[in-house]
Amino acid sequence: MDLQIIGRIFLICSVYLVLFSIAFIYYEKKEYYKYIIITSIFLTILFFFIRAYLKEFFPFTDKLESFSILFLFLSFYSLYYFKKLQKKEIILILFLSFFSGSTVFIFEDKINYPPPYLRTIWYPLHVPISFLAYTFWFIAGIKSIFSNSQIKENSIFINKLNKNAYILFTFSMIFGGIWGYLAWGAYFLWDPKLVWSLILWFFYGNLLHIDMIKTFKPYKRYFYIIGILLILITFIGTGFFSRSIHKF
Amino acid sequence: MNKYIKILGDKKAGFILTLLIIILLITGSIVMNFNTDIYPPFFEFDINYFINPFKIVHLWFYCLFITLAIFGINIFFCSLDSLFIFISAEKKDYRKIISFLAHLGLLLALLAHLIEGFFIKTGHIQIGDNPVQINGMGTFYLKSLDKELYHNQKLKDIKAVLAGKDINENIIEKVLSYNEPLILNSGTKEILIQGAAETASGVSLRKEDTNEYILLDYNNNIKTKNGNIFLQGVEKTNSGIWLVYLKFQLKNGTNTQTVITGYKGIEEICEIEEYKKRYICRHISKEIDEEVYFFSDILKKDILTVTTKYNPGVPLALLGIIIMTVSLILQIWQERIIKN
Repeated sequence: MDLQIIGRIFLICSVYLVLFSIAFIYYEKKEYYKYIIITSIFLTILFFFIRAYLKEFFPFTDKLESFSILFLFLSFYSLYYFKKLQKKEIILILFLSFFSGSTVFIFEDKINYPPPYLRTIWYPLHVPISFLAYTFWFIAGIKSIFSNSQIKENSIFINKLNKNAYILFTFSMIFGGIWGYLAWGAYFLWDPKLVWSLILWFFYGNLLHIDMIKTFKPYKRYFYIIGILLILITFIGTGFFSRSIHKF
Repeated sequence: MNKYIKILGDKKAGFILTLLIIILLITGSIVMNFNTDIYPPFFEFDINYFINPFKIVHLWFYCLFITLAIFGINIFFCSLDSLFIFISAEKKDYRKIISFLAHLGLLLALLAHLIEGFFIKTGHIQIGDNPVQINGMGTFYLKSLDKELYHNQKLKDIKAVLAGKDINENIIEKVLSYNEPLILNSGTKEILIQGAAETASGVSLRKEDTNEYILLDYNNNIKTKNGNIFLQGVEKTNSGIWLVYLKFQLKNGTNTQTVITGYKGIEEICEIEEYKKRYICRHISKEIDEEVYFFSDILKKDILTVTTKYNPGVPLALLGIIIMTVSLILQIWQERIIKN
């Protein structure tokens, strides 16, 4: 059996494990859930190691790998923030993770060597960090769906998630800008993905200030829920339905 | 004074302005996506393109430009407010200085982008082994070119050694690759690899009597009894056939005759009687000035296609990025202090 198939099997197993973990959470078997998620994370990491070996580069260069990173981060952070999230919030995060990982059944699994432009340290610094930021924002959005963001504890948690994500996303944009300057001679171009990344950056940057503005504070949760939609457009919409050069 | 700073740097106004910017960017993204004839994919930020001439389709951009200008003023005063609060407070709140730095970084990035929008210049040029003068950058030639390939023969990277002199006569030699451009003048000027190719530079002919191979390019000629044979041009047809134009000139410079020699696929053409008079191929000779020549091969050389960029906003953008990075690091550091 070749390595590519082994990697794919690892990923498929880890996706099913996340699905099982949802059932365990639902029936409140928390201990099983934890072990299953840890196993799933371990298998996904193995999948990435195999891809890196086969591609001779960081394995974040195609759509399967992109969705798999999001899958990994979402399942990891469902575990990391276990105590701060309600059962239904964890279930929704895990469903999101499962859908992201399920793309393994949809996308063609091909090992394509990365084109020359991607062969730079700025690329692996730019992409996974932005996906980590998406993860924090997704969790903040899901928290806002089920919990009242006006309650201090929830508000602090959401703010913390946004602050983490914003710092990461700003670093990601800086690294992306440096890469753009070295590869295309411009740190910003009118490309749909870049424009929507800027939209996200402005949007969540604005939300860092929302607690200071009385008029908008009561609508905080709705902004975070809208944020989920903006991330989906930035991540999926521009990748599949626009003329972006950042297509998967 | 403080009152005016607070009004101009009002946070609620800043929040609304940011929402407006977001709405305008979304509008712009949709407009650009569906008007590919006006907005070519992946085009750079050139304000002159938007204002010269004014077009109704650019309305989103004009609104965005004005909103960003007001937003710039707002964050300037907002950050100034943070700075004043930090300076005047007895018990220093370091979050204020972090906020000041973050906003200052953003402001500088916006200003840099404005400068870029007005003054950016892009060009494309091919560089071979002959020195090429690039406007405002210097004179450069391609010293060597190596292609790195994957196992499946797909391109991995290019290592091109570019040598020459910049406009201040400084000698420059730099290895260029896809993510390693030649950066000049504090980053405002760049030469970036776009691609590399082989181009025909001449022809190799075989003399029938001596079986001697003669290499002919633009820098030399073949001396015959009564004149010279020159290389006039080399071109590749759409069907992939190379055509090399040779010119025979008598010593007195008057009587000239153009001879065409061909490469791949030309053999079939050479079978046609009419063409036999004009072409020489590997198996069909041509007599020029009492000597008989056969076509042997095309001479090729490497050529590098590069993009040249001039962007005077780069140093300011870099300063903005540095300040923003410092603010982010301070933010992380401050969070750790609070946590501990």
